[in-house]
Amino acid sequence: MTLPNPIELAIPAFVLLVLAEMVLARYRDRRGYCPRDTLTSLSLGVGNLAAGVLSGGLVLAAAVAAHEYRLFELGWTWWAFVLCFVLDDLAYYAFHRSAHRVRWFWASHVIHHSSQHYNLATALRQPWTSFFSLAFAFRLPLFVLGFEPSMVLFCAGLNLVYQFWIHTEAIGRLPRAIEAVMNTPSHHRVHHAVNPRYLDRNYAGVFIVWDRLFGTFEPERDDERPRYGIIHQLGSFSILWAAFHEWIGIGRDFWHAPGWRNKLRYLVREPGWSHDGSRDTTDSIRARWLARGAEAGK
Amino acid sequence: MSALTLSGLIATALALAGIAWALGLGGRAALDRGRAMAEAEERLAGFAATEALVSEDGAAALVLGAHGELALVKAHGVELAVRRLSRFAPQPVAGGVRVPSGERMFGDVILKLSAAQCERLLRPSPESLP
Repeated sequence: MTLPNPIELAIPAFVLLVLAEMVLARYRDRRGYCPRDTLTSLSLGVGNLAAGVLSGGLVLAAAVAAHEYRLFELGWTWWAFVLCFVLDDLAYYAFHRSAHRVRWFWASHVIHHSSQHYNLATALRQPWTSFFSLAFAFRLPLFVLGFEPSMVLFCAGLNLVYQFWIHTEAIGRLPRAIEAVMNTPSHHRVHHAVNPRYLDRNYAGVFIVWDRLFGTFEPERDDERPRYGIIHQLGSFSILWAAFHEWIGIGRDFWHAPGWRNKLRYLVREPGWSHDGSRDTTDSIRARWLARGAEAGK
Repeated sequence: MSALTLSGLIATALALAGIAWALGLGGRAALDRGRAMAEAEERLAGFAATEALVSEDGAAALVLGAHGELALVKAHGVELAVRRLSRFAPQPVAGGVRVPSGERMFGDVILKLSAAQCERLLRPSPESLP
């Protein structure tokens, strides 16, 4: 069965919704969009599509190869579609959590977080090096389970399309039942924030239940507005720097690290890890913040 | 993806950024002493600001920490970006001082200051901010 690419079909809607959010920002808060930041985000989005074309054949080949070893014949039934969508979202959660905890994966994903704005253009700020970071590997178990490769890729596309609209400050909170189950703008604002309370939380793609289940959920608080971006803000609108800065950082650290054990750790440990402990990780920032809170509470 | 599609997407990206500009979105962050100090403390782990020297145009600031360390704050569009300075090597420029951040992509930051402030800042090892 041939299925369409949901992302390509959604592009006109993406453009119109970005435009609508810009007009809204014109009347609500002009700081919600910055033209140069918008250009960087959208250019990274275009580059992501181009990179996807280049690596798409290899991803498909890996999917078909994994499907050769399938455990079940799940076929094209409606329930297989539903199950595929849910399990693909679980695979996305695993990928996304790893993308924040392993520097090799973070080197690609950081691009998506590198804007200090949180708007629909930020949603399109996507990595160029996902294939190199082995992002596709997290979906291989689905092919081995027996889901058809084109079904999985279709569900993965739907998952990304869903995630577009939650990158906005224009929507506050949704009804409680929706906030309980689905990933929403409120939950995802927390994910993009660098406030110590919010760091490394809410990894969900479509269903927030994964975060609730695995202990990584944090609700957005009215008394703590999210501040967006990354710990070490880029301070540059360069498209190429946004796309490759973490890879360059890995290369430098790898080169200068003493011993192979440390070199390897610069690839697989969490972002910010350093062999001499001179840098901050999200864990150390959160621990210091908790200690300060405890001290203040005495 | 054809070359035509790619060209269309690039044109769309440029058009949307142009519309953002035409709508008057964005602007530039304006710094004052309090905001510069708060930003340095929020962004740099363990940094306790004691004093700040803000550029006359509000686009940048130098912040002194409790242990003598320095932080450089600059407007990055409507947002701010901060770096802890590992080396303070100010250079005189017309109407102010250029402070290298030490990172090529973050760039140098120019503080527009009075002549007296420039003179004090350019002294070797300033013990406090002018």
